[in-house]
Amino acid sequence: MQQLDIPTRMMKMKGFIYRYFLEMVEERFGLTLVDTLVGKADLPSDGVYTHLGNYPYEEMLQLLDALSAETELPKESLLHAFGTYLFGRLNATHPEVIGLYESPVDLLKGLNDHIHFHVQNLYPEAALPKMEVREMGPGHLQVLYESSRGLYRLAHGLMEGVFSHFNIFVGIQFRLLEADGTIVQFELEYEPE
Amino acid sequence: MSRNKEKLEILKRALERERKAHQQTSEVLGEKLQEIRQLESKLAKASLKLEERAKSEEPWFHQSFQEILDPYIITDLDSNVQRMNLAAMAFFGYEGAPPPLRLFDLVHPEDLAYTRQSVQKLFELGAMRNYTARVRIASGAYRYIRVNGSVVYDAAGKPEVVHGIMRDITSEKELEQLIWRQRQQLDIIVDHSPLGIVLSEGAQILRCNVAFAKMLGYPQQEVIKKTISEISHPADYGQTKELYEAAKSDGSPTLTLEKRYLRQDGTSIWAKTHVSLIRDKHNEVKFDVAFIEDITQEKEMQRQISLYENRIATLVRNLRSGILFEDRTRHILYTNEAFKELFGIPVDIGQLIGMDCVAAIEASKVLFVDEDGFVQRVEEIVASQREYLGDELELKDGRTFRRDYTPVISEGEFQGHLWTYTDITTLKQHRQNLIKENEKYQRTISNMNIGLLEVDLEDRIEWANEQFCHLSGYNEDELLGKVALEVITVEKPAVFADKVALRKQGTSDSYEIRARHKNGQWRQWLISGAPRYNERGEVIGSIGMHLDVTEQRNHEKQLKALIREAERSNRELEEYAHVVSHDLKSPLRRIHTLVEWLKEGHREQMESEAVGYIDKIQSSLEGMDELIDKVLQYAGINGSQQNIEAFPLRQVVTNVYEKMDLPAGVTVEIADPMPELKAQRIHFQQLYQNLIGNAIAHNPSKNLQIRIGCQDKGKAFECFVSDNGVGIARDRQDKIFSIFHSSSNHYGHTGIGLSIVKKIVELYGGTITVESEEGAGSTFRFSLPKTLAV
Repeated sequence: MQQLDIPTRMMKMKGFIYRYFLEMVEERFGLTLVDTLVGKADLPSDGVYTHLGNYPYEEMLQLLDALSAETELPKESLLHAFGTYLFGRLNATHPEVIGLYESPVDLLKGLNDHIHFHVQNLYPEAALPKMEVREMGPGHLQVLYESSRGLYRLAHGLMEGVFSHFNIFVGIQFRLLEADGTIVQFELEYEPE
Repeated sequence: MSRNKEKLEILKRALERERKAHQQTSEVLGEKLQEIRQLESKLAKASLKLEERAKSEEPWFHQSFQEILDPYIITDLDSNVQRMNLAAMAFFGYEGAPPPLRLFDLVHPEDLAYTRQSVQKLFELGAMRNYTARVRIASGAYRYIRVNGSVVYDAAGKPEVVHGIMRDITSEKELEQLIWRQRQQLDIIVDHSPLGIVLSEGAQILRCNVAFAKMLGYPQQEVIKKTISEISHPADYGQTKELYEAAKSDGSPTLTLEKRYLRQDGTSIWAKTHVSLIRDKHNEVKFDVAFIEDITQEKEMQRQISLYENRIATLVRNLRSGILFEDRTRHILYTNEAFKELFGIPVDIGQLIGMDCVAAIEASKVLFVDEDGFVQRVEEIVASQREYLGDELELKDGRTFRRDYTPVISEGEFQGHLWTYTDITTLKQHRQNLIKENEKYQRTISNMNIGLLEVDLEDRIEWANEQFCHLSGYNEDELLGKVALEVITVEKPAVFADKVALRKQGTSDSYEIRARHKNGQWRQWLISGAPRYNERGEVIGSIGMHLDVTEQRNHEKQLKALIREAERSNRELEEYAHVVSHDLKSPLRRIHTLVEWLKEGHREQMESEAVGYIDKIQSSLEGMDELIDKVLQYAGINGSQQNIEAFPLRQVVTNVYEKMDLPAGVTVEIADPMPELKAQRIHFQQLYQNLIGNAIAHNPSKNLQIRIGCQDKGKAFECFVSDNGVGIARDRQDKIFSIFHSSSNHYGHTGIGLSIVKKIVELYGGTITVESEEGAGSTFRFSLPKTLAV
């Protein structure tokens, strides 16, 4: 909750997120579009991102706006797609972490309790979203997502990625408890094991 | 080329970015490495110090350890507690030295799996944050704890011990669960509420319950995307907004209104909407919670009721009956035009309202034949407060009113008196006429000599008239309610049953049947049956008209027997005449021959006087022969269909008189035209032979003129044969057609000729007459039906 008080302009985002985002753009739309985005978005970083660095949150918004304008796809859909892609990339780079978890629910819980914990330890500047996972019954999960950035569609895609990693089909519905998407309640229905 | 160049540029820029990123990463890594080295050396020093202190200054360590307010525990790698501070001891419920504790043994079995995972990660990552589980304390109860801990490594980098700070979050957790449960309950209430519940911020819907989504026919998710204006009926939205803004600005906490919502299918519902305006501490409206009740049905009912009321009012206004509705104290609440007209009241209805009827009655009683009776009866009825229907009141001017009274009681309370007056003068007359007509009809039926019987579908007798009783010999009591066939015996019950079946199909017909009278006599009945219908046109039985035709049938039988008898004797007579004529003719011919021989062979021996006698004998013999021929002719005339042929009548007549060897001085004249007939030619030859022969035979003079003709008289031909002969005396005219009545004693005339003529004319359906005066000739006229014409 502390994060809510940090002004948006001061918030930073991990460099690997940007790298993966541009990777996705390159993979899906080609390097030309990456070049265009970087050229048009007028980024303080000039589109140079390192895995370990932290970059202002605005750059992500600028890139997203530019991508949406170029592709004529809604930002929500792009974020959602990026969520799924991001999970795939994380899984590819840190299979040993993901492999610790036996079920998607554990993984989701672990994401919040452990992974973010360590990320925060390693990168105190990072503004991490908070996800509260509640098991409502067999095959029913409620996830309360809180993030000052309102990138809940990214979380949406990420969660889908988690489930598809375990080869479990999931239906996800959400409703905005805050209109700006900073608090979102997800309802996940999936086939229980 | 330029495209490739462009591509190259793009790639160059990408490479440039990567190089920079790599450069930056390397720089960061270098810095971090530096930091790590410094930290490492610090850590090594600190660790050394700590170790030394731990060894040499145990009490100090213990003390500072105890100073931590939260429970603090150090365990070995298998969670065996090595040390704990006072807070921890208090938490676990131990005073003084605790027994050896292994934390894993204290974890709630349900949290074990999670604990194992957490510990595994603890050793992998070196630290653990927000580990939350239940542990058993000394009393045996479980408490929720949250632990942040880490692994302490020895100088060689091997894990040595684990230490952690623990927080008792039992009450926090309980609170959380309580809130969670309450939230669940609230959700259940909201989701199961029959009222629609909507949470909105401004015009945007944030949440709604199932009931509301159902009301609108949208999936719940869809509703959340809508705004209030989108789901409001356009006709009502303006008013909604006005009321809402007013409530918002004057600080009202709630607002209630009736409005329509648009459903997904385009229809709308009426709903009572109760809005609570939720304000923040600055009294600004933040949210609105609306409770929505579907009142479409109520609205429709209200509409129906008001329609119904309108209709009733119109009905009453236009009613032909006079309506008078008085309140408890008998003052007029309502009346109508018809009432005014019936009582001849000249003022407007408006002026009548509120008038005291007790006084009015006195004024209007003069209209009625029984003035006091009218007033008394009204008082009686009013006092009883019971319904009275169908009082008939006679008026002095000859009208009759029907009066109905109904006390109006609503919700158990007496509301007033409702009087209805109807002019039934014509109705009454009509009714009386009807009664009279009915009586007349009944009388006619019972006096009819046709026996009437009504039966139902089971052939059970419902009604029988007097004549039927007479006909059958049974009285009403013996018939009514019985099955007809069980009372009355008929010869062929099967025929009767067939007829009953026909009636059920709605067919009428007539038939004859033999039935037995109660006295045992068999009678012949002619029955006409027809189905009976009710007012809906369904067959409900049949009605039978019975006529006893026994006598007629007997007469017919006798008549037939007589005709047969007559025909037989006629035939016998014909044969007899034939036989007799033949038997007479052969001796006659022998006598004639013998007389001839006598005359020729013995003339010389006979005196002239004897010869004269012989001549007379011969003449008599010829006359007798002719007579026999004529009798044969007469007997032979019959209506046989044989020998019918078509012929011109004129030709027949001509042939007849040419063959007759007319005496000198006789002329025959035929008047044109004569018809062509289809008949037995021989009959018409005989007819004219006899008529012409008759004229000649009775005429002594030499100058005889005979005229023959035939005129078309429309329906029939009228033929005539006239002469200028001696005529027939008036007193003999009616006898001339009888057989063997001749007007003369002339030998050459048999007196049978005109009988033959009459028989022929009558055989063909005609008649014959004679007009004659003695000395002035005769005219025979006979008619022939046109059916004979070709």
